[in-house]
Amino acid sequence: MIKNKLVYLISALILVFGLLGVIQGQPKTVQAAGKTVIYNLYATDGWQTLADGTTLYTYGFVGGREGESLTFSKSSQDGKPAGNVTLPKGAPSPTGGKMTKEEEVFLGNAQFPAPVIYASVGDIVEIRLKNLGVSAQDAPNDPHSIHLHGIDVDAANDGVPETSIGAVPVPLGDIEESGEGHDVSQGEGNVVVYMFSPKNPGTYMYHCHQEADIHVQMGMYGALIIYNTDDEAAQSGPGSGKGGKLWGWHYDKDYILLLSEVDTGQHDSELYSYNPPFNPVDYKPQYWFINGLSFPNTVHVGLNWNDWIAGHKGYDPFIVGSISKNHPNTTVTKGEKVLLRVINMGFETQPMHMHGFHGKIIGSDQRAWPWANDPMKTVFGEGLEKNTLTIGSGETYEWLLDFGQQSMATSKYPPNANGMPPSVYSGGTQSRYTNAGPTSNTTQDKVIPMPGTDPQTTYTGGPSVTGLHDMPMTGQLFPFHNHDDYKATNDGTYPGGMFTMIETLP
Amino acid sequence: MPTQIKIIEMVTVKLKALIKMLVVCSCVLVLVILGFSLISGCAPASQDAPEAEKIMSVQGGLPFQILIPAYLPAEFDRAGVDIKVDEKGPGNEPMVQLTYHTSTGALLFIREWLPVNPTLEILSASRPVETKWGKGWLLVQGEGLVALWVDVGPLRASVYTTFQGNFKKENVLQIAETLGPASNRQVFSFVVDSPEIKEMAPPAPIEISSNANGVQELTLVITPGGYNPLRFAVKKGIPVRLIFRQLGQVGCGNELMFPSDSNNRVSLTLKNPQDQVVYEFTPTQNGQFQFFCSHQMYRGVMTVHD
Repeated sequence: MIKNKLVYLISALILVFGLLGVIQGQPKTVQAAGKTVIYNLYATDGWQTLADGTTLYTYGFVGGREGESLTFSKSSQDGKPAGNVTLPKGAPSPTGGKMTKEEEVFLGNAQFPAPVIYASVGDIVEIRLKNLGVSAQDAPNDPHSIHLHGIDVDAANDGVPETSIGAVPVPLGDIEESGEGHDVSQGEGNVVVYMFSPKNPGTYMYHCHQEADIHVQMGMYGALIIYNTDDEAAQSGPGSGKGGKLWGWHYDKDYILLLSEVDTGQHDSELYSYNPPFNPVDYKPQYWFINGLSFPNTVHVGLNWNDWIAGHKGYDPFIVGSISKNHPNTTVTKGEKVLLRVINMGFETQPMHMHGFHGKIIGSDQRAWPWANDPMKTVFGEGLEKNTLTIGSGETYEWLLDFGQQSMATSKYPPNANGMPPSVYSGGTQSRYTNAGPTSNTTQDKVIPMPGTDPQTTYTGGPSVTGLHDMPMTGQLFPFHNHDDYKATNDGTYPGGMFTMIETLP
Repeated sequence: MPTQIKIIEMVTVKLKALIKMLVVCSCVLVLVILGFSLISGCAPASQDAPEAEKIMSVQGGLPFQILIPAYLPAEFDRAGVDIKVDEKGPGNEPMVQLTYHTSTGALLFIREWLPVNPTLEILSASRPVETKWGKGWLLVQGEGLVALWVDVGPLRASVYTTFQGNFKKENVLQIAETLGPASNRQVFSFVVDSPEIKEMAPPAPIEISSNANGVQELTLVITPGGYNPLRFAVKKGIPVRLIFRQLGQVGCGNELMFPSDSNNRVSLTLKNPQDQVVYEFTPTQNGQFQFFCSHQMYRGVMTVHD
């Protein structure tokens, strides 16, 4: 009896547990969303006009997202702007082999910096790269590759030519036929297709890794931004005035700040195939850039800004934010939250100093820093907040500014319609003058001329800089610059170099 | 006391009955669940392609026949496939993209195009693998991405997904190997013969023959596309005469670091594009020896055998 009961009990238990096992063992499907995003890029050379009119020979990439209209700037060898080219259907997909008529438009028009690439977590990104060779006849005609800096890929997909593959330049017209049966077109003009699927949102970059000591210095680098799929900015890219959420932190808009510098000696040497020879250990730069621009170009002065930004989408370094923006139905306080994506693609370590703000460091090198700033616990005013950030070559930082903290109330400037004091200060930019002396920045008064151009003027400077025209009247302007102040020059002429502004608006 | 014994007996009887009922119900339940799981995924139920009509409706304007996979895991909704016909391939060719979805949002992409220069469109970081169509190119990015390029006759297909879970790279191989026309097609969702990923061996090295003087002579040319020949083989103990020259602009490729023995290298440098350098040696050891430029960008292999 007892034995039978036991048998029944044990059978029942086995069946019940077996059932549970079957239910548990049903394969779980893991969600993987995403779309395919394609970039068509061409490697070539180009010439850039610097803020002081110097012409710089560069290598670089040019192209853009498949299916999106593309505008890029033409190279200029004489310092005069050569205008833009617009391809309404976007960059064509490269064709293997010799350069086609469609591709000729890119030869010699490398962009500086290289086009922004952006995608979302879970997307499949396909970058098609073709090497068009160089337009400068005496320059070396090197292969190129793309290294995805920070992206989680294995070594073979890493763009390092010693461990993967390079894009071979197209056949040159003057290659002689071999009489010995060799295949002279071995791989020339190949289209290298890079495929990867980003797993982590953040700020990345890409650059050529062929002879990286030379090619990176020559300008072959660009920003690569990965968003979460539900970020608004994921639709239009960085620097488009849209925001999202990164590691729990809300931001209303983001800016790319891609830092770099050049020693023109390297560029002059490359132009004539290492003649004169240049040893990279003798590196001593003369020009410093944010997004390929030196001050005052960084604040849209001294160049045709509309043309430049049309040809370098996403790379505006002039940081602007509202002090009074509302965020209804959220726990985000008033004032725009602006994410600065700082990238260092130069060879020097740079101390970047912002006036007027302490920004939160919420992450670095594509990883969150919750121990420094926890979105659930660390309010603005606490945590790892810096006004000077030292960024080494190859590093990236996410620096979050709260514009709501910066305002100035005066009796002359009452609060605006939102009840917030406007973000102005008495005097503004003193780049104007009357016979009585320097005045606030108004459009009625004369601009203070450069020293020596008007012998009647004794006032040669101001709290900002001379020669600055057409600055908006209302905003406070906070310099944001390299604190190695000789790097805020253009070959020694101050102000210049790695220098931009943060402007607070009502 | 007797009442208590009666109560115990009654409870025991009821318990026995309950256990019997439990056993029977469990058996029935297990059978039902097994039945469902068999129906839903495991049973070999082949059927006509649900997406055939959709494919045929867009086929008309295309310069090639769209292929669909006969095998697809059951999670993917064939009838709901998205078809884009206005895409461009890596060589700017007309390309079709099929996107299969699952109910959980996973995606499988199949892109098809006729490559203009098939040997010049290269999937970076891919390895050559054996497929029933010949050489395929497989890219695996950790757990995140699997992509396979195969050439079905003149048509190139790229099958790729970031789908994880039970989906493995062998499934991608099977999908690619069952590509075929959409019409009159039996489709299925069971695994056939557990496909295995087999990497292809590199091509055999070019054998260098001896000339009339009994010397193995070859000209090694550095071009912008690399060394030519890339892989060559010589016999041990027989003298070799290697003539190094360049064709076109090769940057640092004008300097060749060539193995003089298993531990050392000699540097052969071309002073100008018309120059050539002769290196004579007699290999004494069997094996594979790499040679490369001074930056190790251009590389090749010399094989020495008996």
